[in-house]
Amino acid sequence: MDKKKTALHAPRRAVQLLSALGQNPRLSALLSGKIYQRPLKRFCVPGLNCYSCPAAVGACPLGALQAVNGSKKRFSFYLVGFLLLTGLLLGRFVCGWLCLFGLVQELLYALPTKKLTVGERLDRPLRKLKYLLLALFVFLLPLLTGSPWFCKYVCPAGTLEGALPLLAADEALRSLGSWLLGWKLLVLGTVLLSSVFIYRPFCKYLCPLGAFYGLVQRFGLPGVKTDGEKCIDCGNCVSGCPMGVDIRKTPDSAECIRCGKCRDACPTGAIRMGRRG
Amino acid sequence: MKKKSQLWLWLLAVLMLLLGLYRGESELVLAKAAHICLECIGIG
Repeated sequence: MDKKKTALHAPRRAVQLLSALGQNPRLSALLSGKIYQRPLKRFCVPGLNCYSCPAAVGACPLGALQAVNGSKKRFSFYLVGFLLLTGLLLGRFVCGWLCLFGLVQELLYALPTKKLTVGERLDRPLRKLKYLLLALFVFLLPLLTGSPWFCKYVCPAGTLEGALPLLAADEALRSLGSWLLGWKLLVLGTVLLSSVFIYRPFCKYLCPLGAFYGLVQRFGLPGVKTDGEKCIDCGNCVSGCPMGVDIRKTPDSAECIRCGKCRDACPTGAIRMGRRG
Repeated sequence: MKKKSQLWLWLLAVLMLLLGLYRGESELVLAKAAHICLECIGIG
């Protein structure tokens, strides 16, 4: 007889909140608008977390990657090495358990409204968009132009965590706002509003960091395993997966954020999460 | 085959990280992260 399994939802939420606070402990700085400038900021956090957020004490790996790619160094071995190492150690566990912007989207999705499922004909091509953004906006265009294209034109996390508190605290910055700020607010508003109806739309369709970790996931340490002898093919894991993954067929899917909802939904305890082996 | 690829990827990741540190890229990250990124907040 198996031991009764504990649902992962509550511990995951606790880890998400602790991680958000651990990466952004300077809450009082959100009011003063002064950003952290100590040497600790040369190190990156694993998830998407804007380094212009006054509360942040680490660097955003995606922002840092674009910054180095766009500099005279031309290509960042430090950041690609860091992302590769993080991807191998954790994969998209980062997205499901450690990313602040992922948590924000999940909290919005928890609002009691009617939910939408994006049809497969639209969902499939949209999922590829994040890889295009990774290749073009994070690597190619910053390398060619020296400008951080993803941060500048897309990143809603930067607008939420960096722009809003800084603009609220600094009148001089507010006066510099242009069409670009309007565009970024529109992107943020669209992502946040769609998060109420669609589970993690930014993670599914737009996040280049999730795309990178997804590409490496199949080589990483964390894994999900289905015990064929215990599985009764009820399909609860598939209907319970908010990312649309069939974990029985594709345990290393680049879309799986290791949230454990398939494990919680399994009535026979056939799904196990842990170290691949 | 997969185990071999995994091993190479681990090695590559560590080597790239060390090379990046040797090139002083972490200083560049600090220089960028310690100041407000105007592009990130829609002003630059």
